[in-house]
Amino acid sequence: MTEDVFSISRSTGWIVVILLGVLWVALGIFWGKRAKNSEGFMLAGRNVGLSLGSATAMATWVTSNTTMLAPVFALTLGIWGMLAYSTASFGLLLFALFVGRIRTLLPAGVTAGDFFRLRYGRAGWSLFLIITMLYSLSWLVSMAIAGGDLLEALAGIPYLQGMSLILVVCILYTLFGGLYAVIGTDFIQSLIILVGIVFIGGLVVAKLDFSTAYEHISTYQPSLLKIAMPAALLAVFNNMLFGFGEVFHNNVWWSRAFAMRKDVAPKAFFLSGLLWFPIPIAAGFIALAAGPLGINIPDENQTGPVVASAVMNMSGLGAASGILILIVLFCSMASSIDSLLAATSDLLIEDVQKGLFKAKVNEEKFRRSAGIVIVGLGVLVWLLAAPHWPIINALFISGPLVGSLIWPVIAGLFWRKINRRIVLAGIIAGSALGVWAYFSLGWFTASLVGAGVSMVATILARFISPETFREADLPVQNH
Amino acid sequence: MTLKWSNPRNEVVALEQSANESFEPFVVRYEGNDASSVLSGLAEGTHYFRVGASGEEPRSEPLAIEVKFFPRDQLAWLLGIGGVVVVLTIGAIIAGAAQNREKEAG
Repeated sequence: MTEDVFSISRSTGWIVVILLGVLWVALGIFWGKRAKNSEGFMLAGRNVGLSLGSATAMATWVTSNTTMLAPVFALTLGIWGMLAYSTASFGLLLFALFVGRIRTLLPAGVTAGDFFRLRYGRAGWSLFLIITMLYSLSWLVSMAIAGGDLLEALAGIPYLQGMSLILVVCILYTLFGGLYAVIGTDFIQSLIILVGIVFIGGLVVAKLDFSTAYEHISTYQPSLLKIAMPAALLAVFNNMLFGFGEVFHNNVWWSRAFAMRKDVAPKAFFLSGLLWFPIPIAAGFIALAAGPLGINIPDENQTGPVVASAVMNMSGLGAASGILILIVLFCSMASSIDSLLAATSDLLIEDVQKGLFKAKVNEEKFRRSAGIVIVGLGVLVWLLAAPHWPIINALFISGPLVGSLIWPVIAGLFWRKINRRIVLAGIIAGSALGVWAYFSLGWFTASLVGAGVSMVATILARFISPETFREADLPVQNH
Repeated sequence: MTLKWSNPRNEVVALEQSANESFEPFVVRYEGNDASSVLSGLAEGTHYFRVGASGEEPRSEPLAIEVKFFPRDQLAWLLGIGGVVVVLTIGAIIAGAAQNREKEAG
């Protein structure tokens, strides 16, 4: 049973997304009034507290991949698949241990690029920019594509119109409000996501007879309960390291580390990791219920929405089910697209425009410059998303690239002595071998290989002709 | 994996699964109007599938699907490496953060 599960009409879909869009843009304009200068716009005045800080980190990490891919992990890899996806939260938990050191090392820091330039010189900084731009752009484009796909599947809104709509809404409120708007909307979006997933999970629990479900899965999908399912076991390590790489290097998380008050930042990241951990388990649990509840899944990529919608229809919610799913998924995408737009545009202004091209961007010119970069980035994302290429594959292939940055970040933060050339060689070797593993051994080994190779090189770099890093020589301002 | 079939007249079709080619016995894995179905969690070994209009003959030619797990020896190596990389990574972070805390406190 999947026929006509999406009972939401196109006009209802348009009304819901336009109302949500107007709400986010209005809030963005309202909160944006606080951004009086560049630091306010990019880092929300470096004064974000615990509740907003933990909500923004949690909401940003709940992407379309969490709500869409976690059910696929559970459906294809079983119990281990659910846990594998949840290990991505460990990245946030461990980043909490970095934050104090980041703020000491870079008291006036603005982007993750500041750190890579400081510890690994121009070559390391350039390597970081290539990897992070590839990753951030593929993440942004894949979410814009997922947004278009979902609006088409849920409400029959044509792909190009739906994709454009979600992108325009996020560009507008990021443009008007900067990080203030992103963090404020993230707070509301995180509450909606949590309530929505708990509500849908509760309906599944109410509908499911657990002993019958166990019997059904043991009979028809026995590998999902198998303790030694190879791909699933490897996925645990691989996903954990992919998550580490994503969080440790990306400016989305570094900009939040700079934006939060120093005393609350570690607690906020830790709390966001704890809050995020059960979300993929809840989303995955919904998918595992498909077989026992007799729900057919015609397309793997639509597992979450199909099962959630079918369960809500069984509970007599009718059209409300489609609206609720649309709101939760729209929020999960918007909360990540806005954060990536803001953090990536900061990186383009600070590291590329001011750093690489030595352009002078003073306070008067800043808002205009930031506006041009945010709109330009949005247009680039739209151009890449419009042909509907399978960009999600580029995001997955970036796993070993970001995995190979894990140890350089750890060493750069905590070790005084290091041989930078060996570390950089390790990043290149880890990325190359990880991509090879992706195609030769399987996707579930790529980040592990990338991180492992880079780890060996970084440890060697501590003992082979290390150069001493003198913190006393640190510049106060990095640009 | 996703099994797909054509259903141009939007009929109610049945997807049947068996452990042997003669389909004796078989189980119905799906019955409805969809033209595809995602199947997961199958045990290692060969599984046979066929589709047809529900309650009517004929059925499609059987499709044999062989499920093979990742080679056990490679798995053991990769799990070992994975465990070492994860433990060292988390250990290095905790040790670094603890030293940094001591340094800042001192």
